[in-house]
Amino acid sequence: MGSRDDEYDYLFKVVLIGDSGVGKSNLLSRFTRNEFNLESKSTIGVEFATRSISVEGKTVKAQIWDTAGQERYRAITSAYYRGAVGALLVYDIAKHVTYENVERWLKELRDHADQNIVIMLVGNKSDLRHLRAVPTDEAKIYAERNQLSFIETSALDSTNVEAAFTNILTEIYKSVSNKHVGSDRQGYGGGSGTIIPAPPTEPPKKQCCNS
Amino acid sequence: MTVSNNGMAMPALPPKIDCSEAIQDSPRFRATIAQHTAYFNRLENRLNEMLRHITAMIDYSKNYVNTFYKLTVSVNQLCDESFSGNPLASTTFQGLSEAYAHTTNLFRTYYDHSNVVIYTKLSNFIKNELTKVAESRAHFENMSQSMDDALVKNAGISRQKPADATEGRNALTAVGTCFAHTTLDYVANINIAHAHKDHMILDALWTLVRESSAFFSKGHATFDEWTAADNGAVADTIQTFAAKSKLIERKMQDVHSLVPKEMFQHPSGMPIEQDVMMEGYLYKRSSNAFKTWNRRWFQIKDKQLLYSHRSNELEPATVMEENLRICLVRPAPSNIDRLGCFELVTPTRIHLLQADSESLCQDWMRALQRTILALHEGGSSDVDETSPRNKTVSGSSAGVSTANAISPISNQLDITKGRSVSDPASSSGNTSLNASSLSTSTASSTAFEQIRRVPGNEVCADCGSPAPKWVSINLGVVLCIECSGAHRSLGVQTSKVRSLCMDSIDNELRDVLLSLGNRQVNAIFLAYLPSDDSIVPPPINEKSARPAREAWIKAKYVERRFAVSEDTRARSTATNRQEHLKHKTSIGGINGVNRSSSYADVQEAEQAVIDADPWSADLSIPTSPASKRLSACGSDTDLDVVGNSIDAKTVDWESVKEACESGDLLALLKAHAQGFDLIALHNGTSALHIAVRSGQTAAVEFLLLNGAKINMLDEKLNTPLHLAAKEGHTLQVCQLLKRGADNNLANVDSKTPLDIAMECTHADIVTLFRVTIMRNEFNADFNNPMDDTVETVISDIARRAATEKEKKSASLKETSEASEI
Repeated sequence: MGSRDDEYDYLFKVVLIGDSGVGKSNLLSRFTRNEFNLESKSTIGVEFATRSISVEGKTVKAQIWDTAGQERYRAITSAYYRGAVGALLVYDIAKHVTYENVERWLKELRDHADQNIVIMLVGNKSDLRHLRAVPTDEAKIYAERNQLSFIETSALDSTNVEAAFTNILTEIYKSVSNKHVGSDRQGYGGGSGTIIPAPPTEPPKKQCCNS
Repeated sequence: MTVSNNGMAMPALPPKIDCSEAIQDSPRFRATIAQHTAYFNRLENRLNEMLRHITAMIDYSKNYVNTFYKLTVSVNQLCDESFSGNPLASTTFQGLSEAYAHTTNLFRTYYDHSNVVIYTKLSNFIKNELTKVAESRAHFENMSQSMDDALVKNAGISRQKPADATEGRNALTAVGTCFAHTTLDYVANINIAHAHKDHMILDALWTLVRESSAFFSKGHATFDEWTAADNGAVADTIQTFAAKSKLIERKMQDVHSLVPKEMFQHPSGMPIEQDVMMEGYLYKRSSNAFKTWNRRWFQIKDKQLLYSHRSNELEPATVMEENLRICLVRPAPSNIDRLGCFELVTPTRIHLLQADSESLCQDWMRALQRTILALHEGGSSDVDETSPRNKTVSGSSAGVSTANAISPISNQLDITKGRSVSDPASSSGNTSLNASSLSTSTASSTAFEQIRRVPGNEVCADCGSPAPKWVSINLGVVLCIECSGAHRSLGVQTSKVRSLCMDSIDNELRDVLLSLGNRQVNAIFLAYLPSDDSIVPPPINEKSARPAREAWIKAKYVERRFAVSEDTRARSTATNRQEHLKHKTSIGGINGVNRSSSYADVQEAEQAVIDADPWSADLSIPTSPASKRLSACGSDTDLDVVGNSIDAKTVDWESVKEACESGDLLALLKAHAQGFDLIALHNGTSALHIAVRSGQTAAVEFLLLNGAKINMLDEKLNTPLHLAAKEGHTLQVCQLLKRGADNNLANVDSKTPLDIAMECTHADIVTLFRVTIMRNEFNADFNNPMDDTVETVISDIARRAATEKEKKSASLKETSEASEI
């Protein structure tokens, strides 16, 4: 990541989840590197990429966690969701079962993620028009009922990929900035802003060294 | 075949057939026959209908019996699943299920038998009698036709053919005779059938009554027997339970009185777990961008602050703070616009917590403050008289009011405590004060106490002072504050000193310290202590001055003067007098230097100390003779080789390798003490590589503490991390990453540890590497936003991997035990 990326106003963690083979990794590579690979392998554990975009004049850095869709390649940790402020829940419009499993992924999010997490339902592979198995309207209604944003994308021909990430990041930005008016640079973890960096007491180790 | 008199009221029985009329085949005969035919048709229809009913009954009863059987099975399962903990109920269940089983069997025999018998009898009647009638009737019809034909033929014979007429008459006579016989046969069969039907049908019907009667009398007998055996027990039990339930009903009416008058004002009820000081719900502000407030169940346990979700599954609690001793509690800053908030400040971050009310907030702050104070005072998690548990729960009348007041007090206490250790006179007073409260302390499993219980650790390894609170983590010896100073002066390459109570001791380090300990380490470093009085420098005791301590400790650990025999040392020091004996040292095995009987005495003395409670042992030592103390710390002049078995052999690479594979830290320390180079490459690999490959956590930690380079390359340019990834040792990957291993180095096949983990599809290890790489990409040394994430991921995965490993070894144990049987 270049030095351009080191400057940011907000750092948002976004997770990509969904069944194996729906195109999560390709959505990520299309968004962060403008690359697409028809023969990409299964993700093992987790992969990361970051990209900064500008939202209402602020630089928002998205740190995207691309998780393994396949059960046996998922690490035994709930840290996937810890600190995540956004989730792209991806299914394959040409494979109905991946859409059916959206329910299961939503439950996983409800169990492990922050209750305020912004979730976007993403129907990927919209280029496969002739193989469509999930009607757009059905998914749209489902998304509305579950208060999710919805978009159909194609990582292959780039349709809506940029829009999907921009929309969710904007939505997160709005949700976060509404809550904390006036506070600068938001981060998570030990990021500055709300955490006072100076330790309250001298670390005891130093005391011992004097003896 | 038409039924005559259709629709009209029919006589119950058709009239008798007159045989003479039958022979004449008169119209009256034919009419009577028709009546009989209709009668038998009716009879057969009715009987068939009955058979259908009986068949249905057979099916139903089979179903009934099967279902009844299933019910019995369910009753048994109900008992096993839901009543097995209640002996009285389960006995009653057994009695009842027996009765159910009896009933099932009775039903089965009854239905099987009765229905089948009646069915067989009726169907036999139809088959034998009615069929016979029908057959003879068909025969009669045929003959009647032949007769008619013969009559027509006969009547049509011409007068001109007298011969034909004669022939015709003869034929007619023959046919007529035959017809008469057939008719009579038919009539006979009809009459026989009429006769048979009466008794056969009645008999068939009677069987059912007979069977039923037998069934009921048998059932009666069975239940008489059962009732006699039960003797009212079931009724009594039911009554007992009914009475109990009434009691519970009444109790439950009062249950609402348990609701405190002021909800959310004070902690309700004592924590159930012994070592939990306080527990309850608090809101915690999450550290992500949303700053969501989540309600979690918090516990102050030992020196940790834990929290867990309210969920259906009981999951292990998350550790919010490992060591409260180094934390500070204070009210939340005024810019937090919520009530009842307070902060827990740690050296690295601030946790913002919210209680359900201001007063509950005060209770929590007080409990935390007391815990912190107690940790400072006791140097451990001992519950003493000012136990937070005793006071906070009882309503905290005499609480420390402001959080800020805590810090100075605790610091001051710490200083006085430090002095008291160095001053035996005041320490005896202090410790006896503690003694009364200590007796109530429960068996805690904090690292500190576990380490204190290791044999020999009740006194300083070097001077024998009681209650040592410092530790040399690479040598595995517990020290008093004076000797720890002397250790520090040697430099960290020789001895890395930490505080047992103030520094946090993680699991890996704890494993190292638990497998070493003063007694065994002294057995190595003082293996060849001369027996005469002229030991140079002289051994120290708790009153020795600083220079004496430094001289002794230097001789013991740097020069390792007593770790190898005189001969060997003479030889090796000739080539290199310095601390590092860089080459393989062969130890001349002269084993018999003045063995005396004192070994047994020493053991006895040590055993006495170990057998006693480690805390009371602390107290007994200052009053016991100095010599005993000295022998316990291993500096008795008579101390000989204790448990030294390999000193006769050469410390060679093979034995070190074996020690790494089996995680034998003592053997490693012995090799180290005798000058074996544990760091260098041997046969293209290193001790660290082998320990990592073998998944020996403590051995890995020991080697790292004693100078092994974490990114050491073997002959194929593999770092230890490469091997851990290859073997799928998740715990070792966590351990190495925590200690700062570089995961970016490529081996001779130009593969990084991540490449290897990907190839082996170890999802956990890949995740560990990727989050570490992610953090490094932020290239922020200070306040890296990913530090926290990496820490969480590592500790999360390490914890689960450790649980997996335990489970695996437990199941392995089980299977091996099973195979032994």
